[in-house]
Amino acid sequence: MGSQFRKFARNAATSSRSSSTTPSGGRVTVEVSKRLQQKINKRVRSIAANKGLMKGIAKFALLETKKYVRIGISPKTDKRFPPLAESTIRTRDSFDKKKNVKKSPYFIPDFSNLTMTGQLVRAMQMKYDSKNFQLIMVFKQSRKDSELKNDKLIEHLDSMGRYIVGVPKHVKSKIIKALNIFISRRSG
Amino acid sequence: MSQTFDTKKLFKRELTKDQKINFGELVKDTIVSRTLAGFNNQGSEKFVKYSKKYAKDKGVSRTAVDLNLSFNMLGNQEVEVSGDDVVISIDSADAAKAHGHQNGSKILPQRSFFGLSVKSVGKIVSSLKKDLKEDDDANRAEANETFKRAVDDAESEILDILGGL
Repeated sequence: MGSQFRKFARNAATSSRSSSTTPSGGRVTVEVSKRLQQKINKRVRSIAANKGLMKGIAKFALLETKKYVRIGISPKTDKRFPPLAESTIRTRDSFDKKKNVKKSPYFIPDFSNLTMTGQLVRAMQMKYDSKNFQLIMVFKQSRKDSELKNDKLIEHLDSMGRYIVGVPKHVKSKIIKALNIFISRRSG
Repeated sequence: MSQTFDTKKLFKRELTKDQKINFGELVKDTIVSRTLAGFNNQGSEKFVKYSKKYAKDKGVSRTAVDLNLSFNMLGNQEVEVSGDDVVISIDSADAAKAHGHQNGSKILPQRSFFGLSVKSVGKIVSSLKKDLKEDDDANRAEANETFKRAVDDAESEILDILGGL
């Protein structure tokens, strides 16, 4: 899996698009226009359907965002994560050589995808506010390997320009498209 | 002769018309069965014995007092619903006879059979409340199931759409 993933990740990262989405903190807004929101409220009507709708969207957004991070692209900027410094690569190399440590299958020593043990990306969760059509990205805080909390780690990564909080632009557009299809089906 | 029960006060909730009628029927049945067992409307005392002559004519012992010959008087109790109130009354044809038994007269000893004591009403209310709670739980479970199904349907529909894009 390692070498296949390495090849796939490099290709995907090279072909990434840039965008200007700027979600802040743990709250990720999928840009659902007021008009679309009104349409959803008018056509979908039931709270249950709204909840199911947002639950599905959150599931999809989480899965796609995790994929994006693992192939080395920031879901916030839609650009590759900044390359790793030589010293970091050396640290990651020695981590790679350790026998009794559990490594993520997506870990590549010289590839910047915020992944070594995989705990940070696994800790990513997507909650939703079905009333306001918002996705809220949260992270489970505790880590097995240190007392460092994931929020602190994310803050540190942000300061290095490695933004993990966000939903990729193409995922957002898919969500909007899907919402429109959903509404038209329900209107039918 | 009538007795009125404010169901909203007794049950501390709104009842449907059917639930009110059900309550009224239970009150009626309680009055009938208690009377046939020979107890007065407080449920604690037996009725005054029949006279020797009446017992002989009826063909029962003097202590087998059940105020029942043709079942007209006991059977003609009516249940009416008016707003939150449930009214139990005795049909006008038997009202005079019932009044005579209830309050006594020159020729009849008092045998108060109509109506329910607070304790008896409490028993009926708590048993019905239990049934209502079971109904509520069943309805809630069904509503939850329906809600969950609607959530699941919408979720799989949107995931299906997203997967196809």
